[in-house]
Amino acid sequence: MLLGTTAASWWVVVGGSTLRMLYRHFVHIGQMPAGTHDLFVALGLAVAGLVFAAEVRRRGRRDERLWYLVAGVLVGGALFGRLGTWLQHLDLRQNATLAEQWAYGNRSILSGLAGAYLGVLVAKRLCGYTARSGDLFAPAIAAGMAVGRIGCLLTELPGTPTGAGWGITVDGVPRHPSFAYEIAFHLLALAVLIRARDRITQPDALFTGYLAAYAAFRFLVEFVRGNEVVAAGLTRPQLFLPACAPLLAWRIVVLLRRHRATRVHEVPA
Amino acid sequence: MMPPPPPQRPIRAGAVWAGIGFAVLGHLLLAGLLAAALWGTRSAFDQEIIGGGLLGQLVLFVAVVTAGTVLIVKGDRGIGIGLFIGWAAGLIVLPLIGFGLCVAMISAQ
Repeated sequence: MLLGTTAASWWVVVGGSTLRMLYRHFVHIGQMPAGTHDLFVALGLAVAGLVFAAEVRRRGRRDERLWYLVAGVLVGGALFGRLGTWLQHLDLRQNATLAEQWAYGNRSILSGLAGAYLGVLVAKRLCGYTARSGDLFAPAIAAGMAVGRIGCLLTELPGTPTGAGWGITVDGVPRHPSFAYEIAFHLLALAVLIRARDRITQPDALFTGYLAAYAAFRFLVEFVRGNEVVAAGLTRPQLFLPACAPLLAWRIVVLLRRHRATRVHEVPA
Repeated sequence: MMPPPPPQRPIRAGAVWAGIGFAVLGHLLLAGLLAAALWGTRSAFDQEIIGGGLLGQLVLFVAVVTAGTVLIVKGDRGIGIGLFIGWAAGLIVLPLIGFGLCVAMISAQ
């Protein structure tokens, strides 16, 4: 398979025949042009919403306060996704103004996820919801990211140059399809989450496992993504992830302690 | 003795969707105004139009936070929560519409 691009469109060659794919920068919905990237983000959000609703129904967790949690996820994710990359430089004068960042700044999935997590914590505190909710969100995030990343695959430089046969050829240079790797990761994670959700009953264990796996995967895939290297041979996401590692480690420790405590209680006297 | 506060009305899904609709309508109105400004000035994006768009987004944000908070505390919680959900979802999704409107406007000039 050979995937390529011209100024206006992506194309793919399968078995010698050329199949023209989506316009690189915009597609048409009826008569209306729409950004390809935004279209897939919208589809990803819709898929995530449907998977979340299905998971809530499947687990029988019908609590009206879940609406607060959904609002927290979206508000935190939207704000941090837009503003999360604002403070990029230690010299504050080099950073864009807040208005410039809002209008033109990079959107970041990682800071969006961090904001969504924070948003849920705030929402839970505000509405007094104390039950664990991560496992409700984990399959939805995996499904939504798998769809949303298709937009990145179609509109962004896919990765660093590679000699591997599966590289995507852009302007004559075969490159790692790093977004395709990420889509594959999320689909695999979704399959594992669905398969394991009835067996792993420890609350939030699935969610924490998914977060840890994604953090490790994202750290590794950054080596072939082609993002700007800023320090010690690492990109900004690779510097952000270790900074969040203590929080993740703390979550894992809490889960293990809780699991051990549950097992102690289960042992008959 | 103060009388106990009345029990809160349950959150109706229909009210949440109504709140989402109001917030999305706000986003669409903004996108429409931006497109109309582009059409009126018959020029590509300039600083004033982008500044106006940003100001509009700020006004929408303040309106949603104020109305949403008041409704959650004192009124119909469903509509209040829906306003927040609709605002955030619109912020993520509606560049799709805004982009389309702007491209259509510029193409038509």
